[in-house]
Amino acid sequence: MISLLCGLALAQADAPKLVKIDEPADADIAFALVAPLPKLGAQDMQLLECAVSSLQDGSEVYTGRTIRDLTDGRGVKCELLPDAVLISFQVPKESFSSGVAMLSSFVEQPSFRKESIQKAIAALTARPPTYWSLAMHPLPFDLKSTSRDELMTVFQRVFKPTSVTVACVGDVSKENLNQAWATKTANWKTLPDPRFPDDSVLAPPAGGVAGVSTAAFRGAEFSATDSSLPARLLALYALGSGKGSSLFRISRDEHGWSYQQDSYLWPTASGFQPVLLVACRANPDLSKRMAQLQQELNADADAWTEEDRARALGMAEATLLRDVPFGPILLGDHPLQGGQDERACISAYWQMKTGASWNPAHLLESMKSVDLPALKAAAQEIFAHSTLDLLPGK
Amino acid sequence: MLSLLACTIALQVPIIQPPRLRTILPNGAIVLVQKEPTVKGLVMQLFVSAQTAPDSPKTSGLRHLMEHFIAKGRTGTLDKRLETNGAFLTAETLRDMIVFTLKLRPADLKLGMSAVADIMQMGEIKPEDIAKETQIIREEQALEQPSSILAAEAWKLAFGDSGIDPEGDPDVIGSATAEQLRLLHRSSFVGPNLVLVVSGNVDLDEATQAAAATLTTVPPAKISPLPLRIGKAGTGSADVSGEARAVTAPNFNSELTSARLAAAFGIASEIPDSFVTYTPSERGGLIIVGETSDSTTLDKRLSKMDPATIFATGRSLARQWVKQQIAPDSDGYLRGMLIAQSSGLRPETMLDNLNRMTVEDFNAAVAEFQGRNAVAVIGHD
Repeated sequence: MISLLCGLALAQADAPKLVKIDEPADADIAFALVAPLPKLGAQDMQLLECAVSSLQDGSEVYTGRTIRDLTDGRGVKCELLPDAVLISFQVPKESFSSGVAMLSSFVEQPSFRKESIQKAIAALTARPPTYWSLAMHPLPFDLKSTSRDELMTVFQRVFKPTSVTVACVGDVSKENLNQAWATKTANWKTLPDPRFPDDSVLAPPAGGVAGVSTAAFRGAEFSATDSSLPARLLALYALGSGKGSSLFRISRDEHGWSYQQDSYLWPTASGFQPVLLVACRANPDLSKRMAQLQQELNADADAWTEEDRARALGMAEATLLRDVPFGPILLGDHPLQGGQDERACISAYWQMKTGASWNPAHLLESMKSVDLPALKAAAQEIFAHSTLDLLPGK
Repeated sequence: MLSLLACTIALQVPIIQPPRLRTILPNGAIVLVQKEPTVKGLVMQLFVSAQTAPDSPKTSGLRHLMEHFIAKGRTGTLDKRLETNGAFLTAETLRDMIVFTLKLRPADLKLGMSAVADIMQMGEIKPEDIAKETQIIREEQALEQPSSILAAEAWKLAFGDSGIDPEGDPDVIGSATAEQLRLLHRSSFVGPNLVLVVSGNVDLDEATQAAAATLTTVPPAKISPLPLRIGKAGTGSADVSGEARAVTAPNFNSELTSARLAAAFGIASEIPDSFVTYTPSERGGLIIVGETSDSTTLDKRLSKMDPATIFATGRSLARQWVKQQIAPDSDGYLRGMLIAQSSGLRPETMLDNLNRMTVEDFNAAVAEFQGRNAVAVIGHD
């Protein structure tokens, strides 16, 4: 009996996570598949980036033209997030089965043709860094060549039958999704992980982009399942989301130091990290200004009133419930924007990250229960353990 | 009893309203209300046409500066008031208009109208306010994306002074006076320059009345349409990485514009990390395809591109773009932008044009991007 129970528990732990969101009126079905990143060395990270970029060219079964036809010309998005890889696309609802087949084909049988690899290497080498990517997600790329085998080795460390979470949004039943996914992936086999994986370390960026400096205040990392998430998230809304936020009022309105200043719930391997990012023209006083800004932000947060809390909750409501494209929660390099494809992506991602369904209304309710002292404490916690990363513009 | 029953039934008969209602007010302002029962919120957009004060080298950036000031509201507290109520305001200055967008809770029509009323009035501006806002605009310009820089250069090449970058000249902005801004505000906020679009689950009549009451305070004016922009081909450079090709777009309703937009989408579908830029303009504008990588392939790919292989994709993507703009969950941006320029421009016309577009029309449009009639902007490696 005990062994049977263990067997059941194991089977459940091994099952892929499938998320289904009903939107019967939609003419399309959106698919998203996300897999968390294992610990990868800098060299393997470049291989993975190359693999993700090559993946857009298709699988052994689904090639470029077929993909375009199946997706009505929209193609497939493959993104390397800071903590995961995300694949997403939309198909007309009549093509549900083909969509499942294509998704499974992408992760089971990526083609990684020689030309696709060369194209990916050329594109990644030529990709100009942006001030945002350098500050938030620097991915230097100097790979000159690689092979399908090398890409498959790192690809299969990420994509395993038990590591992926799949979300499907549209007019389809959960049973159909479960059955279709189980059928299509019944023979999915992956290589064992390498015994001596690459452990090279990513070098920090040497400098910013021409004319733009960035300053990133990074708080301490915390677990994605930490019960303090609502308080920390609300603090991020209060600090750096919207034109009434502390960052906007102080850095932009009061000092005229910046045009863009935002707060992020930045994903990390072990959870999330609160980050406040200021982008400004390159100037020699950056370090002094940012030290002053940190002090003033601290003092401002100390003096927050119920009005600031209400404003932060208002912003949270607008972004979480009504798809106003703003706010600290990001999908890749952009805030949540609404739309069927984005709902599929965030549903898969949130499930993978927190183990819970993406339920923005519930998240907002949790934030409403954060009182003013708790909100201030969450903000002070960010500053108490924060580091300041300055990236001067060239 | 029977008559009472009949009366009750009559009262319960729903009043079926059309999906949208356009009203021209006595002062020339236009109100467009779109009933969208399924959307999550209420969106209000105020379009302020530039036809009474188009940018010139001497005024370059003044509309942008005015936009920064009036978006704060008269007392500078508008954003806080909106955000506390779950609403958000954005503003952008384009060549042909300024657009203010309010995203509100579904039932916050009154709050939205009070915000529009606030935006339409200019508060007191001191020289130090102008100095600080100039500093912020310089910060904004430093962050401009390579795609925008390539596009701005293409506009300059094609149209000269009538294609001037709405971001503006920082020197002109820095030397602006409060009086200049006041005069600009007065000439801009006249009836025929204004279009207010309200989209959401609203009662058409109630929303139209509220919008009319808000806009009725602005004076009427006689306005002559601005001359059409006459574009020319050319080649130029920009100090960013990347490359762009552009062709002229006569006006939104033109079949040529539809074919060229489809061609741009088709071309972009073959080039990774590429972009397409098109801002509909009654005066004539540009459709731009570009890429911003360090080592561009646009020129090489364009010269080898077979239009037949991208026809279906180009048309499909162009159709999707238009359909997205007029979908129930869209905010009426395209429709409002078109009405702000001419009452005859309709998104559906482009859909009809795309449906009628022949392979020959499409091939000719691709050839425009490939040929000497295009504007080419080359960035550095």
